[in-house]
Amino acid sequence: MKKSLKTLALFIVTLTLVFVSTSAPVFSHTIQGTLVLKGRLKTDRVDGSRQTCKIKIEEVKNLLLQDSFGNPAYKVLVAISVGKYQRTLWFNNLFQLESGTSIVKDLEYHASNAPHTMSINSQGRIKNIKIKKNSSHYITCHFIR
Amino acid sequence: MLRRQSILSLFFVSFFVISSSWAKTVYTTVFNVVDSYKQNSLLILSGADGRIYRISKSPRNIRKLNSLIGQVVRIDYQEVSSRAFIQSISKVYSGEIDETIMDLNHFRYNELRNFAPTELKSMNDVEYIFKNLLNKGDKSISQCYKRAHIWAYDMWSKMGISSEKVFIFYTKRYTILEEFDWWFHVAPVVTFNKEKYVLDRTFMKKPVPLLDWKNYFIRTNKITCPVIDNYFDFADNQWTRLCYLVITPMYYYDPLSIENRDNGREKRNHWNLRELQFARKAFRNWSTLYPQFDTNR
Repeated sequence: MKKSLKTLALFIVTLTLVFVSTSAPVFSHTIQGTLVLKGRLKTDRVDGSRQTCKIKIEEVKNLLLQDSFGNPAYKVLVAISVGKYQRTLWFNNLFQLESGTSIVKDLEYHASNAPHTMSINSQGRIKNIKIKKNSSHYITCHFIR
Repeated sequence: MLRRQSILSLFFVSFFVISSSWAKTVYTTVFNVVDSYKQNSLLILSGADGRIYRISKSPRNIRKLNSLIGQVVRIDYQEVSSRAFIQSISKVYSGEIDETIMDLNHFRYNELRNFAPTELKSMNDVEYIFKNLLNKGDKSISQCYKRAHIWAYDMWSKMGISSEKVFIFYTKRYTILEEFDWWFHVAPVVTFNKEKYVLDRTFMKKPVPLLDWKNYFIRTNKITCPVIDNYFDFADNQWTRLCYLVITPMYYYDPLSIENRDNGREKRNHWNLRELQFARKAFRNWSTLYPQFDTNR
């Protein structure tokens, strides 16, 4: 009798777990589509260096790729100049999560071919850009207080 | 003598039987009457099926047909080389037909008319329709919505097919950043085997599935254009997507007609004569091809 009650209880718990997991809301992700503003920026507020940091947003285009939720991504061409470090790189805001899902972030960007990142505010202005010069040396340029 | 008479009688009876088998009847509304100078005949634009019915031009016929404009009539006619020639035309008498059941004027809104696209029977039918759409180098002189409208009208009036239209709307995000000239494109759509095929005679060499058409016009297969039911889902969301698709019944002419539907200004399940008058100009020789839309009484 006790054994059959235990079995019944286990069955009910299993059923409940299955019901809860299948009726859980599907995760969705929406974006604002914030557009990065083109232009030149210069700042002396540079962590990790005593030099002036200059950037120029040269182009803003659609990446013509979308995340797992159908949100389209942007790509941005950025010319960076910090002392002797001078490069022009494409950044985009399409990120791959560990789960295999891809996600577009409105306010964050990463360089396609370098370990640099960039963040913007909701008006599309550059807040900061983080450049990895070597394995241990980072430079972060701050543009908005 | 008797034998010759029998042969003659047999001939006349046979002729009568054969020509009677060509004779057909239609109940319709006389929507428009056109004096075709080029063809020296009177043309009736039929409200029930969009066809042209012809009758010889005479003062008597002119008076009679003008008096029948807007009236429900019975037309007995013969078909010769796909043209319908009227043998008799008369106003229906009371009780002759049930006008609440018969849909007799597709140029006027009808609350009881439920649009449903025709399900075609084979891919051969889809290809046949496509090949017979007008396409004589008209891209340079026309706009997509005018061509699509006449193609849809021709499918309905010449083949009895109720089609749909697919509009692809490009958002500002796409048009500005990609420096793209269009903000929309449209083409007719037919259904076969529960799949929609786009008949874009100007840009395609054959009917294509809806997804392929979308990929062609957004220039990638990696972007989704959501299908929306309301125009304002596009109008109010210009930066979160690159494109949207709207599928409408064949009667919708341009983006404005969809906008009017969705802001409650106009209900539509009918053809608009003025729009057809504009749309026919997408094609060379439009006045010869589509005289039935003239209003030169």
